[in-house]
Amino acid sequence: MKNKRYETAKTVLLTAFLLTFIPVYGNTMSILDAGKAYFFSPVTGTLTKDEKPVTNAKIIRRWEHESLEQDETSTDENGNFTFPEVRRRTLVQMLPAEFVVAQQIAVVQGDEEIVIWSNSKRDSGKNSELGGKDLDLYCDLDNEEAMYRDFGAALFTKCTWK
Amino acid sequence: MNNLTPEFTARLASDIYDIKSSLRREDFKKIYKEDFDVEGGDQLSGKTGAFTFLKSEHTMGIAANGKNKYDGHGFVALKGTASGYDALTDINAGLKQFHTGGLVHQGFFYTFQSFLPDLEKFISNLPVNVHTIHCVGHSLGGALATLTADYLKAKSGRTVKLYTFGSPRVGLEFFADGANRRLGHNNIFRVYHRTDPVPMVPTWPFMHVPDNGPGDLLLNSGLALNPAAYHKMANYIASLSGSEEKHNWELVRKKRPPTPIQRSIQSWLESDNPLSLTLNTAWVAAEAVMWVLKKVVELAGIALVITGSSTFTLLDQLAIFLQKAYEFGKKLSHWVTRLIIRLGKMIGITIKEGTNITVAIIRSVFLRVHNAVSQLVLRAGRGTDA
Repeated sequence: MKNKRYETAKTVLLTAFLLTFIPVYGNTMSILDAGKAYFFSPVTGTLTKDEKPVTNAKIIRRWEHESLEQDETSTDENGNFTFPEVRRRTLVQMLPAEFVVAQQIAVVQGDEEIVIWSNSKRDSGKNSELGGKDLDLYCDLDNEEAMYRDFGAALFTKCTWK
Repeated sequence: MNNLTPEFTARLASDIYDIKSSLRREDFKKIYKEDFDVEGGDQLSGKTGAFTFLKSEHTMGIAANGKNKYDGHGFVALKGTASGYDALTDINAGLKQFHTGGLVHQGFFYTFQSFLPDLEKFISNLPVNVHTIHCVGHSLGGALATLTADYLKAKSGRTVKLYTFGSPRVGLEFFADGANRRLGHNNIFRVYHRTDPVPMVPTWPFMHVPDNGPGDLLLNSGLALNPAAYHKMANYIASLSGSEEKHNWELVRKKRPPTPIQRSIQSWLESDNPLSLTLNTAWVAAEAVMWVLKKVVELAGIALVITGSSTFTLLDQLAIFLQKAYEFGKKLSHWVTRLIIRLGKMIGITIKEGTNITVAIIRSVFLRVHNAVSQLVLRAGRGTDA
């Protein structure tokens, strides 16, 4: 009897704990991701050439902190593509050291890779790439690559954003 | 143009972090293609050129010759690394004799040695019209820039200028004094925020290049952020981005917050008020240690005896040194006693006035202060990112 009461109390406490803390971390994130740095914020984009959508194009995303990693996606029939967020734990968060993650997005065209995004992420927060704005990109392969110095590191890109 | 501007220097100290990843190395060249000769330095083809990557375990920095506006100028920029922190807070880390004389932290020495062959290549290919070489670095990169500047001054025969942001201390007094003298007071720009924890290590008797004078450019930290966040390069850029001071070091100098005058250090030592160790109080303690040490040296004429052995522990030497000073005279021993009492208070040890201050007591207080400061530095990063 005593044991059962103890079990009930434990369950109540555990439930209270979960109810208290889960909302803090939002809906989409796992509780295990808390405190992890954003190596790449989530990306949505539209790829065009001559202002026409580029369909079924392979897009490679790379990032490097301690090691080089990559993932891939393809554009849909409207030229749209998305990449999920990349979050990792890093020793740098525990030290007063610089946070640096090199980032690249490249479009595969035939045998060629065209780089449409090259950046250094210099802050571990979400969307720090564009000073807090969502990475909602419009990228035309015919665009001249431009350099932006407004967000810390020099960002070279063919994309624009709102 | 003699000095680089505060803005250009801070940008370069930040951008140099890009060279570590192969994804960004060519971008670094793109940013500076109007300022530096970026031909060469291609690691794959093995072609040599004016542009040199300085390599250790990974690429640590670049050496380049200027062009256009920077014709006649050479540049060395070095990045920091997250892997050197253990060594910085390790009191038993050895010392090494540096090329120019004087003892420096062995961690910095070994990294410098590893890219020295690349640096030698750069020196031997320096065009004759290069009259000034600028060395720039942030954090541990600042320590490496300090060694590089001192070495270049000795080997290149050019004017060498040194610009560091949040640099740790590199060597002991003989090295620091020598480097100051060789480079010249007007050629050093050591920028640091008051609550940046990295310039607080390695703990005294490591000394900064320079510890005072025109090259000692202290900036206020402000209260908005976690004090340790002021180590970040982004916050150095922010502190130097005022529309006027970004062009002019004299205006940066004028931003200096007031330092405690001699009298306030004395009253800090004499006070019995409660005290705790934080990033905001650690620097006052450091000033007090320096003040007492200077008094000891000036009045007693005792030199800090140092052996070059790598098993040498600094704390033993210091304890013996201060003990000697304590025995020397009443006035001196008063300040040494007060220092030990106050340092003890910071870490929660009560030492009563009149206690017989032995080498063992001094050593144990120093050891515990050292541990406390190291913990503070290591812990400081938490909460700045996340």
